[in-house]
Amino acid sequence: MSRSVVDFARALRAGQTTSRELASDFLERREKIDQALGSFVVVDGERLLAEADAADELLTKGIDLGPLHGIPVGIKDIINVAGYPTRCGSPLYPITPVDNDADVVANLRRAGALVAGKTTTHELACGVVSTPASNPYDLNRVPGGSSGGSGAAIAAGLVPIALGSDTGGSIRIPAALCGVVGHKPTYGLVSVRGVEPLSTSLDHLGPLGATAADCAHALTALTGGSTDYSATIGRGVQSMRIGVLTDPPFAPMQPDVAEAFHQSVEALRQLGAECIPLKIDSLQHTLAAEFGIIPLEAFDYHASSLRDRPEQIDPGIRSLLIAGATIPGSIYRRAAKARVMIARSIIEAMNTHLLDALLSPTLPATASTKSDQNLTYGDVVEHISVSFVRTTAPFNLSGQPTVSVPCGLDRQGLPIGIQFATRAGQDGLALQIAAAFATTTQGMIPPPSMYIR
Amino acid sequence: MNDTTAERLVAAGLVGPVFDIAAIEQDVRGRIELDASLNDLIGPDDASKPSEFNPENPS
Repeated sequence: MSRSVVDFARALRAGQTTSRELASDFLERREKIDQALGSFVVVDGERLLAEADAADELLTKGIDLGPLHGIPVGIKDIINVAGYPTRCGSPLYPITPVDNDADVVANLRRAGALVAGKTTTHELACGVVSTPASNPYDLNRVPGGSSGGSGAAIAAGLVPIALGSDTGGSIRIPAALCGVVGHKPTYGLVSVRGVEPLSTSLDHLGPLGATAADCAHALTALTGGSTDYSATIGRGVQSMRIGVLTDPPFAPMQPDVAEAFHQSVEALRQLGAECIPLKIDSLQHTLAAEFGIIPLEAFDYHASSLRDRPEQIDPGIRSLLIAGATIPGSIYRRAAKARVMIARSIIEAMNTHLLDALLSPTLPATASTKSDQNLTYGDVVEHISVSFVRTTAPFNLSGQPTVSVPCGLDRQGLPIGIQFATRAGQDGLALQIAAAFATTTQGMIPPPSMYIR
Repeated sequence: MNDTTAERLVAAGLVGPVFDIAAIEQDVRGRIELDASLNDLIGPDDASKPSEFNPENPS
């Protein structure tokens, strides 16, 4: 049995396991590996086991809440879970538990999921390192961020699903670096009530999962269950037209990433998709637009913390917040204008070429070590926060649904991801394409040092 | 409206030793340079000048 929602759900209904066994297994695994991995910041084992028993009792009575019934999931620690504190990876936040579930947590509970605990986030959901979490493929490397704990927990087999948020790539970055699937839904599709924001016009909430099907089941639950996003999984990509993006900001890439990406394009062609090279000039302005918007919106939310307790904010994040107070307002206005033009140019390109989806590398590089500040591409030296955002942020600006899926390993055994973006509202299609592509690979490739079968 | 960075900090209530004016001014200059790269996409518009943003007509 693999450690996916689909397999757990099947085993639960076949009587091969119970929710209590899944919860106990999670707690035992966490005990063994999470001191080194750092994927969870807080877990309430007693409560989890009690909820698991309740889930088992419901199934015994014939009450089945759906695919997530009785399955433990991780919740990024910027999302409110009643009875748990929300710490946002920051000393600014209190240790007192919050009273109410965020909408997404309430929806997961209605779908039968169990809260395993809160996963590690980069401070204030603003960064790509996510200390103290580590990458299960190499504990000296970062899991990505800011939803790094969620990516690491799934890759290590602790939970099959965990929630993340994505303002400039924070679901897809850890998904790619940890070799799991990450889905940034259409902007606004998933409620953010009860979630600490970073930049409200760019924030997206969504699932990371062991498989695209798992993410589809999670999205169905997150959105209240009225649409089944797993319905089209398995339909393939025959005759689909997919635009392939390799120019800046997707270039430069590490050689192994470029090779894996080109092999992925060939694999899609073998599946019957038509892959069309595509260039969208406006995308090279992605970072100027993204970094023109975030500071002002982040400062707007964190102004009082910056004023009253600035020394408790990481210096890099503090600089970003200060910029929100000090840069000319015209930067925000111009960035917002650029954002509209970028989003429009993506849709125009898709319309002109009759495209169903866009394909690009999720990231131009694999996981950096914890001490790396920069990544190099030949003669180009780039800060890792630039490298890990320039390829993902275009789809934060456009608000399109985007799925990152593993496509292989580099020569050091580190995961590489590719991402599919579809039109706004076509989340099911993006997941369908990702699932089809995953049939050409080994899917999730377990990290040898951490994953416990 | 053409406030200096220091004046903007004070106006926002951001005062104290943590707020290193020289470092912040350098950071702001970098962000204005990045913003200037948008000229190729949206045309020139001096970011150091005050915003004339009209929320009722954002374009």
